[in-house]
Amino acid sequence: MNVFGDLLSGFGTVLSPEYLLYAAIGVTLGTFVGVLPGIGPALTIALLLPVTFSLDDPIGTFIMFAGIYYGAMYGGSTTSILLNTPGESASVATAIEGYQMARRGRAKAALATAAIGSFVAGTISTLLLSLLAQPVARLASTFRAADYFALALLAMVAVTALVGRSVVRGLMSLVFGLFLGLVGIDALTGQARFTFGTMELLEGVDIVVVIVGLFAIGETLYVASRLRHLPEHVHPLEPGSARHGWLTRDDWRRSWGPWLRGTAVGFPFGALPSGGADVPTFLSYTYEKHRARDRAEFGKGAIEGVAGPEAANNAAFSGVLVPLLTLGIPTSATAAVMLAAFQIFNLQPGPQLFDTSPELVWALIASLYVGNVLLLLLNLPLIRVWVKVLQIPRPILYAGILVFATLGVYAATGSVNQVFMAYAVGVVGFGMRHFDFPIAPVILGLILGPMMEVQFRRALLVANGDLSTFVTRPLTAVLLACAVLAFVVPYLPRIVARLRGRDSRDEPKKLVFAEDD
Amino acid sequence: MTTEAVPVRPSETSRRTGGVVLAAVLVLVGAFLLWTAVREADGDLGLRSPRLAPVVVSVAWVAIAVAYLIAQLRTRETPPEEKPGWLSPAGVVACLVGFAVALEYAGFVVSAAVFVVVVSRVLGSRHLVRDAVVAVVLPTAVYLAFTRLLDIFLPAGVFPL
Repeated sequence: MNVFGDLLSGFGTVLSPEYLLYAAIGVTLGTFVGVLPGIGPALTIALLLPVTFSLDDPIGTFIMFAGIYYGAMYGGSTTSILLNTPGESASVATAIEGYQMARRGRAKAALATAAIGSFVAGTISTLLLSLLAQPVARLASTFRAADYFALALLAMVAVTALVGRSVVRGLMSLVFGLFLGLVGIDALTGQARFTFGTMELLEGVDIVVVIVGLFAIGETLYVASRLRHLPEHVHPLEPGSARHGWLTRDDWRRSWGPWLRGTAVGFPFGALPSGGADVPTFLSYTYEKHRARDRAEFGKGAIEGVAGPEAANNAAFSGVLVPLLTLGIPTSATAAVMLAAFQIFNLQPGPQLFDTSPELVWALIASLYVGNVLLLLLNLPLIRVWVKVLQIPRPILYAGILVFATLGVYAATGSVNQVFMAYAVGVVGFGMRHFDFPIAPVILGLILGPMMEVQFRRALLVANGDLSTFVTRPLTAVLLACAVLAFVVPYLPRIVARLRGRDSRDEPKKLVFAEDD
Repeated sequence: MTTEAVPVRPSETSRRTGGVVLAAVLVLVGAFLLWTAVREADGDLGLRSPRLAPVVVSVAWVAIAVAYLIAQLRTRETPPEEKPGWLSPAGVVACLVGFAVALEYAGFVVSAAVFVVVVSRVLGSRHLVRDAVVAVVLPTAVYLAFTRLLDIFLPAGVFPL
């Protein structure tokens, strides 16, 4: 069957009333949690994981996850625009111009260009995903263990080098994640590692425990440490009926270009191992600023600065699904959580997934289209409801997040010891935030580390212990070279300056694409 | 040009000291992990051995921690805009520990209700009645939704539901 036949059958599955209900629940829950200040998509999915534990229908669950995934993003852009608290680094660019637009009384236009831009980008990039998924999966079935090793290494290194302010701190986070991944029983030989003689650590460190600990507990502790310095003021929407005051003709004219360009930047960056949506959103922002006729308007609420990055953000999220579904390699923290969700259902994403459960894959892809439409229908007309969510008093909000975090870990593991473990990870996460260590490399190290080690040993087994297997195969060698290159890219402006004989101190020390998680 | 020393603000020194102490702790933890990994390996460090990865990771840990320590000693961090408080986070952690301990004895609803009231107070809420209402409604609703609708076990404890 060709792609369109597969996709049609996917739509046939999704458009049943039951699955439409799952999709609607997913986007509503996702938007609701995503709107809460300080909560990004990765944590939204992790917090909502327990809701799906008792569902025994993987298709329904993944349709719901697709909704949560997109909903969390839509919700996050609302928070960035109205409250200037981006829940993740990919919405930082949106917050810059969006919040300024809200301050100038153009909140509705900012929300509308973000929502419609997300819809346009989401639809186009989902279309690209549908077209690309199967060819890439077919290509991926020729990958060998050594290639997977190199890919996992590249994905980890790219996030560490490209996201965050300091490579040393990024690497420290990554090594911490790799360490957490090593704890427990070795997958191939069953030997205990880093268990320090305890029974509890034999099972290893659960990904849900780490994500909830780092993002939910760590974030709340960080908020608690600077209670008096939080933005409390939610920008009110301008009055007027639900129909009016969104986008003027001029806004449309200025938005459609950035939407399409944002999509064009976002999708490839999402699909390649480059740290997910952080880099493309900043690239899109910088590019729109560069080509704008009235550059002075940037920083004061230019609509292009909302339209472009939001589109890039959304397109990158669909792009991230390409390596996740076809190779089983997560390239962002959110994708790592999605992978954990897959593993709960004993599904291993990768080339085989398209053979073993094609109905699931195509239903998931079809549900992305449906989710996008639902979100557009849900988001703008209900914007006043989401503003109400934003006005939940902070102490209650964070108390609720902590209850849900505890509940999530307890429901996932059934053990109070694991709850304590999540709290301990949370304290570490608080320290990481305080000292400006990025969070995403920890998650990727934890997920990709064990994968990488298994593939490394498998590759050596095939090659009879010959290390040259990693450099003799062209694909492997290229991937490894890219991993090395990723470390150099952030320092390029400095190196170029030095080569040209200029004083390199004038250049920024490292390119910074994102502030922090 | 004046050569007057810029007065170092207390928060600046504390932050820098904090960074150095953290880096030193990281180096020590890394050294401990390396020692554990080498001891567990017991000389078996073949390329395909499960003992290799722990050693590689802990060597990397030590190397990066040392690099971080050197960076902390050499550069002066930009001073933080505000001084973070330590009391509230410590209070939140204490509340969490109490919550987790009480969870299996008192049950989810009761322990969560007490937790919400106390932790909101720690986080700066001054509306006891509002917090109390939330503390009763939220855990009860969550408990009923999870146990009745989703069939997920939560400790009932003393709460007769």
